[in-house]
Amino acid sequence: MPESPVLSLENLKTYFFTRSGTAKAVDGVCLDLRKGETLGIVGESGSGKSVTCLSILRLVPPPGRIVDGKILLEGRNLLELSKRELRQVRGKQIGMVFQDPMTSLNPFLSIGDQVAETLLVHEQLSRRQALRRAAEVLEKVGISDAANRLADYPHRFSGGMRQRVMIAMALIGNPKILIADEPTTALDVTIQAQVLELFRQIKADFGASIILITHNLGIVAGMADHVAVMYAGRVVEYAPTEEMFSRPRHPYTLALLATLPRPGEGGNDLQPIPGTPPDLTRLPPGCAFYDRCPFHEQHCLEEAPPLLPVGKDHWASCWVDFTAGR
Amino acid sequence: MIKFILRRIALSLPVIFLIATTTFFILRLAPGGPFLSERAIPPEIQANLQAKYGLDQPLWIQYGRYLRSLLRLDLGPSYRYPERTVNEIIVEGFPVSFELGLAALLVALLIGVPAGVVAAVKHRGFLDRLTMSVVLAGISVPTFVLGPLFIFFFSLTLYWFPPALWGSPEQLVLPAITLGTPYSVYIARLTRTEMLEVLQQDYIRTARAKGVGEFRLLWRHALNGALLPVVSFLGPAVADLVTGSIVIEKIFAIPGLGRYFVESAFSRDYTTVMGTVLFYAVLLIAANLVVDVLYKFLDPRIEYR
Amino acid sequence: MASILQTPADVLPAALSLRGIVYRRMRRDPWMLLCATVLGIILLASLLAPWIAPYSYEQIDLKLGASPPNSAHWMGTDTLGRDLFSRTLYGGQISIAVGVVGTLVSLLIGVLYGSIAGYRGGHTDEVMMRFVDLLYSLPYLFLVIILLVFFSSSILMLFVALGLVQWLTMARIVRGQALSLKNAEFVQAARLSGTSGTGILFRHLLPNMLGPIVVYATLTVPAVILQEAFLSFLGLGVQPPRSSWGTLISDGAGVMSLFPWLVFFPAAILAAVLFSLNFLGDGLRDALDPRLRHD
Repeated sequence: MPESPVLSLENLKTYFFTRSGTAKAVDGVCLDLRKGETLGIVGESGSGKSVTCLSILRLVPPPGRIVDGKILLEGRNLLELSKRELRQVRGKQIGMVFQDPMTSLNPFLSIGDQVAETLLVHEQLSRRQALRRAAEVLEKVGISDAANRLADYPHRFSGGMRQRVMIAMALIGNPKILIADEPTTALDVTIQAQVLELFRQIKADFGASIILITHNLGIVAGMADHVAVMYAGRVVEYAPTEEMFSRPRHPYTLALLATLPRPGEGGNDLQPIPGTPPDLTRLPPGCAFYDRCPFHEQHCLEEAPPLLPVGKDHWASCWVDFTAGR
Repeated sequence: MIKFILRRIALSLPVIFLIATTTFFILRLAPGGPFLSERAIPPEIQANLQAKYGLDQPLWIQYGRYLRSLLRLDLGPSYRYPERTVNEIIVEGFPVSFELGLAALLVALLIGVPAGVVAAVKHRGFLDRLTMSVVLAGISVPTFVLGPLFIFFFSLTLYWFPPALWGSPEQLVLPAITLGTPYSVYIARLTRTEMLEVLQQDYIRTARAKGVGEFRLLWRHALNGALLPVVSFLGPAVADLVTGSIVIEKIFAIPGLGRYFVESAFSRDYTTVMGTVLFYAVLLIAANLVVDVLYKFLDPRIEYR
Repeated sequence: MASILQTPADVLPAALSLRGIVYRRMRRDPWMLLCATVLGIILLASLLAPWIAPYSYEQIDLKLGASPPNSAHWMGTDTLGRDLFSRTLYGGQISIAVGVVGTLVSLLIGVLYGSIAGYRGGHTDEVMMRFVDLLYSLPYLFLVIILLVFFSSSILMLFVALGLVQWLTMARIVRGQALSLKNAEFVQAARLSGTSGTGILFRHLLPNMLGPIVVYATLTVPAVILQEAFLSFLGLGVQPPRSSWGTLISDGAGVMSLFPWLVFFPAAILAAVLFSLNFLGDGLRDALDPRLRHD
């Protein structure tokens, strides 16, 4: 790799210790985020993509706990920081946009106060200065007449507008990294497109590296430079976006691609993935995708495949090369 | 906003009328009367007294007369204290009860809210268990045990505070704490439950992700939402403080309205009993209205129309 | 993230019966077991008072007067020389009876009222709950005091009066449950198959609301006992020579500086019962409350 990554996860493990057993929500994830690039993380719900991102800022709620691994932000392991140092990272170095803008904004505080708070916490600014900056950033993310709307409460804003507020809140500290956890899932389709457009613009304007989490491969296609596909708490495939779409090497990625409608082919041959994701408290010793995999072999049942290079900058964890036969 | 308040006042009028009517007939239909008590009064004097207060008239005439004087906000003469009117008794007794109630409410909030917050933040920790055990113990000891106990320790043993009577600030301390403790307990419980709920909200996670510190998180982000239910609890709490005050006033020999009420009830002083009940009904309705207005003020999601 | 936690085994507790939840809680929390035991002993002793009590509750011994606890009188005697232990046992019968019957009265009114309001919904619900809101803001205990003073302070009157005070919260809880249950599939199915309103109420709604009702009833009993004690303190409860825990405490509080044991024993017993009931009720509520159930 030409440049050292801004953020890299090494063998990250986040487990949830529930009464019914230990759920291995994130089980040995390794990922790199390069400077200025957008990394898409794709997977079904429960694949561990959200927990991975919460782990980065150490926001995993109990009974979840990060049990192993490293999270290196420009070489500094976030897992070894004190609470104080960690707060310096949150909001300042890494900004985060959550999935549901309806519940992620505090209904009792005005949006001006909420956006400005990131600055107030990290910089020596007066409230007035912080509010002025907040208005600027809100204007930038597409809220017109922002200066006059600072005193409004979140319930006065539509879902799309609230997501813009969330994005402004994450951007105002000028973070190196922006993590967006399904930022468009809770929104109407037309609004989704607007918000995605906003992300593209942010990437150009702010120069931040972005992690974009989604269950929708279609969103990743237009946005990301690299894509990581997660399944049952692990990264099963990692590749440049083009490569991932043209030459998938993991059966799960293949199945995901088959669920996408393709222009010109009509909607009839959309393939749902048979079966359900495995119970994370009782993961098999072999490949977690075994039950749902059309290519599985005896060996898959015995040993879980590691993430191995299968091409240039392309990694996959599968014992079978299903492309060989075609 | 004004419209909301006016509407509520209009809605309360029939309730007050209903209370007046119910109490009037309950009292009059009950056996006995104010001048039929244990003391043997000569029959002619008794008849005179009955005539003086109009008690010899048919019931519905008495009722009509009472309602008419109510419209003038005149609660009538007291039968027990012949030289005084019920209005005078309320004006004299209520400020005392009010001061006691307010002090108790303050005690309740100052103990209850911090205790609830601490318990929620240390959820399932030692401090949580400790606070909640104290809270349960607090509910389980009635005020009329707590009161004498406080007098026993703080007045008769330690000589810190006067055991009874009214007037100086030191005399307010023990009664206010005794009356306020049970409510501090309710408030602590309520605050804890609501705080636990609020701390799980997505917006708390958002605040954490911004790098907000724990103290600011509780103070700016969590407390407001958690205290809304506490505010709405204050309405019924005023009702409880009022009734609780009866016992406290008896224990500490405080000349408040609660004591007047019990004494006049026992001596079948119709007008004073009715007057006090009506007065308290109006007070409680007003307190609930104030609480509702306050609630709307605190919750930006509710907009006035 | 929620999806991770929704493994089948985690969803299971909701399907458990009330008895199952009580049993599980008890096993996990020894304090609850202790509370239940203490409660059981006091209840049993009170019920068996005629056989256990060493003396009658009205046997006066003026020569003896107030004496501190000793081997003949475990809790001492009161100013009239009556055995406090016996009086506390008999007093328990009354306090517990008032607590239970008062709660039953409140249950009867509250459950009927609440389930009708919740099940009918709409305008009926609106009007009925408005009414409850209004009653909430009334000086209730004042009316109870009037009833007791002006009619009679018989035990029967106490039962009714206290039940009348307590039904409001029960009505609110039941109404909330009914409101959420009435759109459940099994209720809709029953309605479609022509089951009458009362049939649905008794055969479908009530059995499914049993958990919250039992929990709240557990918390109502101590509240009623406390109110009886409150009224006794004002001289409106049980009349002498009979006693309840409230009257014993009230009598004892008056002479506390001279004969402290007279207030100590009944107050300790009352506090133990109230504490146990509150603790059990709280534990059950936590166990049933899905918001708090995620350990």
